[in-house]
Amino acid sequence: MRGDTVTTETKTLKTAAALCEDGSGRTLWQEMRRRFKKNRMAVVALCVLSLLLLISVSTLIVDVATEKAFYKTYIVGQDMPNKLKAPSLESVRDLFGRDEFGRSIFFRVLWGARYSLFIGISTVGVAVLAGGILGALAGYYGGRLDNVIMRVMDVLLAIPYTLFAIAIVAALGTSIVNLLIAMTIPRIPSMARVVRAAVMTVKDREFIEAGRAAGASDLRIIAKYILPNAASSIIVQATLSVAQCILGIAALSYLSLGVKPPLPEWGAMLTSAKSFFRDAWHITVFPGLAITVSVLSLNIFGDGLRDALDPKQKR
Amino acid sequence: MGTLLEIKDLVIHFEMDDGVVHALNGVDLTIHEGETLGLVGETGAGKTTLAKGIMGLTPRPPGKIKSGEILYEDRNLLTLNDQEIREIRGRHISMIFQDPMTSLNPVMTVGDQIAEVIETHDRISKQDARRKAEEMMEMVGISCERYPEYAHQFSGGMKQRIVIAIALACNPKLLIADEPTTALDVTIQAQVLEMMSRLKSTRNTAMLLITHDLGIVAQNCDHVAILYAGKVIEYGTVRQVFKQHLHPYTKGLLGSIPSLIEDVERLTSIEGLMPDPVNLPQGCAFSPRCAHAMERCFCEAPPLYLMEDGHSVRCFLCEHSSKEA
Repeated sequence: MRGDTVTTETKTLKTAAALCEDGSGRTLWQEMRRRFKKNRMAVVALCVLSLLLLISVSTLIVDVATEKAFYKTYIVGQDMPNKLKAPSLESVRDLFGRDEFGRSIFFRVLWGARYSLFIGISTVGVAVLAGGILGALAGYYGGRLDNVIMRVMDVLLAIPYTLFAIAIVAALGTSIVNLLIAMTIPRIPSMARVVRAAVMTVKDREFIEAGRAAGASDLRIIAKYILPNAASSIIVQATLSVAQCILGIAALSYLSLGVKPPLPEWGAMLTSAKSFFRDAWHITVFPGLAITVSVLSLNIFGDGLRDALDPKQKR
Repeated sequence: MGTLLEIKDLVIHFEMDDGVVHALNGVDLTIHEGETLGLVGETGAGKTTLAKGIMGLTPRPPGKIKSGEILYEDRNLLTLNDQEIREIRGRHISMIFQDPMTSLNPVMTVGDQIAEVIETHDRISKQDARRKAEEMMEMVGISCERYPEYAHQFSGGMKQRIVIAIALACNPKLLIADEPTTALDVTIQAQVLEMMSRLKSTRNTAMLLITHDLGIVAQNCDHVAILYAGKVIEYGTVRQVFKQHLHPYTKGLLGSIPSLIEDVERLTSIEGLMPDPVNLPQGCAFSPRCAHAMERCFCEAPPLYLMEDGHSVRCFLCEHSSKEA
């Protein structure tokens, strides 16, 4: 009881001290970080995402350091005597069990992180860039340019997204580059829409006119006045679409249109595992779990980011 | 005093779907070097349209400049291309907007916003621009320690000081202040205006002060132009307009100010509203509200009569006392 009051007191003291410190020199960025930290779920999600990033980088380092020897033996190398071995805590290699070729699922899940993350981030990166430029132009200049750009985007939006990816991969063949193209193009319209809407709400604010009255050019207005103010919605949309992308890659790989076996991509692992599901539960559960956890983390992180970037949520 | 800016017969219309808004209908104005010209008018008289017109910020479409010239140092601002008008904005003519709360970029530090204008117009390094921006902040009475802070960390009056610092950063020859103190409370208004007139006189900047507060005009301006329905209806020195005003509208405006000397129960107001700029009355725009309106006022628009004492009035009542008569 007594301990409780003491802790609350120290807490209030701490927040008061923090307020005093922050009162003068707090930037928008610091403000955002403070609000983000309050959302515990989002912080956990961020930790998971950092872990994924760490895994991707360290597996890459292992590959480079061992000149792919480790990769060849443990990730793609087969070990038929141990096929479908159940998970056990005896060795790291058997932590998640073995798949139908006796490969360690644990290692394959770790090595698979980079595909999802790399494809997800680069796809969304390109989509943000292309969609951002198109959306900013459409939103800022309006009129005929807006009409032309947005109608093209509408046509793209009208094509079912998976079907579009299947068509591209079927036409160009399965490879990582084609997969990237297939994933990126359907992302551009939604990105362009978000950016356009954000630009249009910012465009008519008075400080834009003030900037123009001070002699700023259109390019400067867009780059320094409009986009930074529209950034919050763009960042949030981008984070959420990385999650969609990871799901998309998994789906395409599941349809054998994405990353080809024996590369350890999570979706591809699920496809090859599906016929052994009855005999060995572990070979589908772990790659599936990896997809679920990363997508969930990205969604929670995106939500947290949206809340943190909303200045009305000041508490 | 040389002429700095000369506006000749400026007509700006806004062509909307449901009619043409006649915002400015032939405005003639002259601003001399270093002087302060007060531009007074009701809401919707076209004050802001005129200010934006000078800056080349008329939104087009729907805005359309039908005719007229804006001569700045013998160059017609209306015929300049984008590049040339950008050189003028901020460097030669700059503008202060009505609401300081919204006229600063919320995601850029205030110091950077001042430095940005300097960088845009003077070819100097980032460090020099920063130093100059800090000087500007000190000049408007804000410690340069606050350079890396954002607009939301400042109060309204301080924001307006920052806005003024931005406007004056490049030593413009003309400052257009569009109701610079309307959004501020009265004590801050006085401070800001005092500071503006001090800076203005030390730098020999001319100012177009747009307001509907006649007290501010009386205290700060050299000349006054009264704008009504997109036309200048009376123009002269502050003394002429306040003491020897001739237009019935000006009389009405001044009659609506409470007097310190006389004890008056009710203030006189001008009956009616300003005409809808979409369909202005034929003849004098003020005729429907005018107590002295004659037959002629309803069908014929009066020209601007130049009076003996040098001030000009747009009213038939002055026809006989004008210089030409």
